[in-house]
Amino acid sequence: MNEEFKARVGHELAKLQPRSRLARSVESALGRYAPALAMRRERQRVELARFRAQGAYPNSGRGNASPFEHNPYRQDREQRQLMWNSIEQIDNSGLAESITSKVELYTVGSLRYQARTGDAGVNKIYEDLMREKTGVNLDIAGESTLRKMCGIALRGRVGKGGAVFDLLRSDPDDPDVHLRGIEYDRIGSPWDFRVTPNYIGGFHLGPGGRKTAVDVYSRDRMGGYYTFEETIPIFDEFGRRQVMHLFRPTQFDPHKGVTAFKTAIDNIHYLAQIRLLELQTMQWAATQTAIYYTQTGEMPERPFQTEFRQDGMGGQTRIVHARGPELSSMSVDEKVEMFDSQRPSPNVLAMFLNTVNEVCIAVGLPMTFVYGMNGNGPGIRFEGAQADRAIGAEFATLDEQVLTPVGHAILQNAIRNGEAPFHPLWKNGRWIGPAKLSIDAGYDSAAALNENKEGVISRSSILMDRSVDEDEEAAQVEAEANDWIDRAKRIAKQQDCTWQEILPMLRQSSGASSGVAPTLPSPVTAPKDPNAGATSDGVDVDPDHTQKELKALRASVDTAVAEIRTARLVKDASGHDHDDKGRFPSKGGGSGGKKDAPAKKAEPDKKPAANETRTPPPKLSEKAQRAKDAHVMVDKDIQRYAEEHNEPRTAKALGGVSFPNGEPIDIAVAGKDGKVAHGVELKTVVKNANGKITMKGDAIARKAAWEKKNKAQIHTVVLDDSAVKDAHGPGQHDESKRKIYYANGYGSFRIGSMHPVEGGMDGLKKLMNTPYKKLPAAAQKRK
Amino acid sequence: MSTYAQFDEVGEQYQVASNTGWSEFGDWCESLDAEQFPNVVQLFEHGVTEDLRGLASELLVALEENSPDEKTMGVVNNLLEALKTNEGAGAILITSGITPDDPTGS
Repeated sequence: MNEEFKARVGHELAKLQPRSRLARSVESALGRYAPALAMRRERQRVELARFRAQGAYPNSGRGNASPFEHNPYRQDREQRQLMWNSIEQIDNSGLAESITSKVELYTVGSLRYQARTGDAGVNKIYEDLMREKTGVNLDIAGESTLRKMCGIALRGRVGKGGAVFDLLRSDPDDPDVHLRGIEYDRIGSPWDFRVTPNYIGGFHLGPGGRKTAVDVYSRDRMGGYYTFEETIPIFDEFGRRQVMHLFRPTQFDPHKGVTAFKTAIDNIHYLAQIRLLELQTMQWAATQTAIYYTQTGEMPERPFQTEFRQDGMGGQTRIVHARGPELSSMSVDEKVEMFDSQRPSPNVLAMFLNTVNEVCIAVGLPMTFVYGMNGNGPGIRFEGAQADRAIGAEFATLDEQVLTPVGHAILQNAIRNGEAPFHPLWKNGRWIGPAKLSIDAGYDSAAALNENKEGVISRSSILMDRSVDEDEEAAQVEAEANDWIDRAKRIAKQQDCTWQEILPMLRQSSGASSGVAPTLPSPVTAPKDPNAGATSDGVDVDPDHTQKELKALRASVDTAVAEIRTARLVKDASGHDHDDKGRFPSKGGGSGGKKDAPAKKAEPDKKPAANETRTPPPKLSEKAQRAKDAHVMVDKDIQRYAEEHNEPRTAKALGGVSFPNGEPIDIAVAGKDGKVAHGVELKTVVKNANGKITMKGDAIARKAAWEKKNKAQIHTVVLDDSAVKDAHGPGQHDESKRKIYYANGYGSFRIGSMHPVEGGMDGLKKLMNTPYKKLPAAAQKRK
Repeated sequence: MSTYAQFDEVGEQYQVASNTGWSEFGDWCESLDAEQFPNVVQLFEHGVTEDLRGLASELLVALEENSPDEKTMGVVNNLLEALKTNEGAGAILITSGITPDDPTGS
């Protein structure tokens, strides 16, 4: 019977035999004289070993570790044992299968090659070629693409400890490179535990322990027997790599990999046991309705109903049912309690989850990644980072051991065949896997954009993390920009607008409107879901939501277009000309509004008087009035006065030039070397001479940048013309009453705190050329 | 006299032009149709407008229909940039960067 049992459970269980000679003698004697007892003991031993799943125990028991425990022979045997157990777990445990699948999905869910020769034309040829050559034709079986083959290899890496690829180079009959994937259990004979200095586990070793060849066995499809197939050299006769061995070395003299489930197998088995036993308990509890307490131990007729059913074996089974709702009476020593099952108890659930966590720890992946994305705050970010690193390490291993050698072989072959041009940097390309793992795409995206804006990371790095090729993305962005502009032009033609007005409405992005239409309708923002995302607002992928956004987008475009048209209709009602297309001519003469034609001018050749305005004084809201009262305004009257009487004259007096446009200074004065040495911020005050110069962030930053760029100093000069302007009536000014205040520096300070200049413009010029420390204290405003 | 765009009473302040730059902007405004571009003209003539959206739209249309020279274009761009980042403000004022008497004397 013992032999039958061995035959039934397979060769491997033979190792479960007691290891000492005495124990084997006892078992043998029991088998002869008490076979039932021997069988029971055998079963118990098998169950015991199976419960431990033989994980790290190739024998039924193990004493203390010794130096001999970790010899290569033992390790090779254990690794093989682990591989078989792991294969069984992946086949039977959803958790193990899930972990394996996740590693595959997240590591090579997508795969692309990026050539980096520096020559865009060559890059495109290389990338197109790689896309073509890594299709299913690469697989010698014609089944899988390189990406899929890598996925299968990764499953083998996780489940069996590794995988092997055999690279079949081109020959006269077949110009292409092919790849043959070999499952790890086919490397070496499963029954050959021979270990020599030159051979272990199917690998032939050369000097220094380098692998020189690998023995591949074929697996009988019917019986599962392994028979020797061939020995493949690691390098071919020309020294080119022929065999690629994917595994994760964990020591300096590794020959084969070991399953990632090495220390998880026991716990996976425990989980199955816990679940099975707990479910059985729950099933039993679910069949119970109530407990009837009685001294006789017999069930009374009431309040139950008894029936007998015949089971499948012909026996009678008594089933007691509770009857429908009714009033019941019992004697004082009887009672009925509803059956109260609390299974599974919180402790069991906690233990279950704890065991799952142990499995996750054993395979090096965080539980949130493997078993559920629960959690919040820094904890889940840390776990997300851990998962990202683990997957990144898988990809790096795959890249080093398989992708790069395969890529080089394909390109080398293509260059030799004349399918691709040679480039000195032909080996400089890289493989790009799936996008970087993120627990919160929205958060990470915002962070990446900020870092890019601050110059911390490059656009290329961000795109790489997203598994996007930089050149392809740039081409796509360009194509989309063209498409947006075409669409905007089409709408503009229909709606009698300019395409620049329409474009920001279509894009619905504040960035899109930069420099084009900054104040067109605000982007349509979806209401925020407080629960979206793990730690902040996540990405909304609700299709209904998208539809709502689209509707809102269309509505906002329609509204904005209507506003523009209404504004023009209002003018139409006022009697303004318009052409036959309804387009208003913005230029005098009704020329149709061509860009190069001048707009309608009040008096093109004659500048209107400073106090002459074409718009009435605005009626301001209370809020705007408050703002106006809080600042010294520059209206046309003051601007024209300053322009006519102050700035050009001051510039001339100082030997400088007036700066046009948006420069942060008004006047620039050159030093002795002819380079800019001084910048003047000139202020003309016609009222509120006791006011305060207020300068905030943007203005200060621009002035600071100007000083740094030009290595020059900015001076603040106030021309107090409060007693000058209109001193003798409207337009009658008295410049002898001008006061000048000076400060070296810029910023916020009271005019009264500045140094009053004596000697007019000459005095001012002298002060500007005085070293800062020798200036009067009131003129030192530099912080 | 550098010119600043001030948003509301205590809002952001942007330097939009030098004195000459604002003068040239004024020249460009004088060439615009006050009926078609009321907010742009009002901003130069009275130094204030509350219709920020209208102002931005008018500036854009005016840029297309009556392109100013490069210097004035820079001033308009500064204005548009300031408007873009202050869409929610109630009013834009053109100031010299001076506030009236400060009662605290600071």
